[in-house]
Amino acid sequence: MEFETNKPIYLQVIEDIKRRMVAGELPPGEKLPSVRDLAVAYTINPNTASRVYREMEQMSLCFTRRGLGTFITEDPAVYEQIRSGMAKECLANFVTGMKHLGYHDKQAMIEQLLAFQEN
Amino acid sequence: MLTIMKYETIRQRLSKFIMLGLLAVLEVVFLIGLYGQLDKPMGYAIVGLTFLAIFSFMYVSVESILNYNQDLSKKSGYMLFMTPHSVYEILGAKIIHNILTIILTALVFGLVAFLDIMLILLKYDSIQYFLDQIQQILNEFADLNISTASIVSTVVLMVILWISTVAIAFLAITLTYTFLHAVPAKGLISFGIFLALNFAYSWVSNHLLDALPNAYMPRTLGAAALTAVVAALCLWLDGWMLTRKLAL
Amino acid sequence: MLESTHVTKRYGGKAADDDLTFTIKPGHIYGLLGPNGSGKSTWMKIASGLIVPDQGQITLDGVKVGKQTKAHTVYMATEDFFYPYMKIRDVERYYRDFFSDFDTEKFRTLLAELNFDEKMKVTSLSSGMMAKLKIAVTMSRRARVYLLDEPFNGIDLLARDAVVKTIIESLTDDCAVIISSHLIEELEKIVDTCIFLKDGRLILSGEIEEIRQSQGCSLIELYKKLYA
Repeated sequence: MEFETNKPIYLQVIEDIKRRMVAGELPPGEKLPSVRDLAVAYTINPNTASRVYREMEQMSLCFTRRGLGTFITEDPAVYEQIRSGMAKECLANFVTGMKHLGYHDKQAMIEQLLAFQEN
Repeated sequence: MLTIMKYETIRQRLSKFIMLGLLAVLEVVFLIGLYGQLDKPMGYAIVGLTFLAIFSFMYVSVESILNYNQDLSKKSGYMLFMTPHSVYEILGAKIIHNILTIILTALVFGLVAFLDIMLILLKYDSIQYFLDQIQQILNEFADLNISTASIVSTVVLMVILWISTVAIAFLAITLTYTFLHAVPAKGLISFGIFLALNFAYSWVSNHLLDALPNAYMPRTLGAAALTAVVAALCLWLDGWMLTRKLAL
Repeated sequence: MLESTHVTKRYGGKAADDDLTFTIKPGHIYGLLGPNGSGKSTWMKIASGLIVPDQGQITLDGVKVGKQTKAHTVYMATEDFFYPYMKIRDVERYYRDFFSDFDTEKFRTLLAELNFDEKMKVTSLSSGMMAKLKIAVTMSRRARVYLLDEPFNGIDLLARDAVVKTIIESLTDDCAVIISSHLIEELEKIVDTCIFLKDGRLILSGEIEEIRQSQGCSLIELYKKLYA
């Protein structure tokens, strides 16, 4: 994974994990790799990797069972939250982009979207 | 330290194989000549063995010095200096290894020479008479007392004194890569220092040996003591210079 | 764990290292950063016992750097340093003979992963293969401090990836890895603390995330700011 240089790495990794969750690659309750394996998979510092899990636990995205490892949350509501959060971001980008192109009102934007969907 | 010596040996194994190989070949030719009554091959073999002995002796002494030069000038030196040994241990091991190799080479060729001479004497009784004749002539001419014992002593003395030369060479090389590191023509300068130190050493050893009774035992012991002192001094200086000033 | 105290080293009147004081803690990967000639290699060589400082000292767990600490530190030079006569199995034997902390199993595993044949001569290796061999042999020692001097110089992307993965996998809570480089991009992901040197002096050090936040820019931009 290519990292941007202006955002903290651990946040970018969390974003990627969230993406994989809503894409179905990480179903509820799925076991996550160990800190070491995560570090190797993303080619990041092991301390950054453990921070990823710490922050994710704070965000209730995962939980740790001593001796067993770290697991994705089993709560489907969390998945919905992530989905709608990401969708909102997508839409915000869409609206901003369209406005820059001169499509200022909702109707024009929707027309463009429908025309796009046809093809 | 033994490990360092082990790897010095491994590093120099190729030249040893070649030397032993040539020695074996020449010895076989000699034996064939001796027992096959073929004078010419035997003669060539003897000459070949003599040259091989001298050349091997020189080469073995120089090889350690060349290796040391490589250790200080090339990056492979890292392999050596990062091992958990002090600089003195590393140098000491190299110098001891060199000395042992020189002695071993002298011994091997000495034994072969001794063996071959014995074989010749066994085969040709007349040779001993011939040798005695030569000895008598020399006695009359130059009042020289050349016996087998004296030849052996002289050779031993030369080997001991040669070891000092090797120690001084190590010193010169250490100087090149420490204090003279940034000086242009450092190779020439250190060679000059090597020659100067050798002259000084010769002067000291000659005067010292002359002061001793003119017999082989005291002289040999005197030379051995002098060499030990010189080698130890060089080692100490090398270690000091490398610790303070090495620029790998 | 590793304390550098007022370390100074001069070469012909110029200070290669000038009053360097900082601490290296276990469990971290440090980036020793700065342009060429800023004193990184010199400091590393002092830490690994290859050079003696003119002033100051470096101690490992309270013991001054010397013969004893050499058994617990490993320095990986930028250049190729193996003896030309060696095959890979000679390299393995050498390390096993000299270092009691050399993990032969780990080395063999790494060699297998990196597709090496122990009968290969070191002189026949490409630069990428050589870089992988160096890192394999270095990280197979269970040392307290790993000092890697410009490990990514002159090697291709895939080899770099292999080197980075080997480093990450080897970090434990009792050891520290210090990587020196003038190539920031390579280090940004794997280093968690950085130490910036300029003309032999320490100009900035700290955890990457904190510095990124307090300076408000990426590491690359910070580097440009500090050395422009």
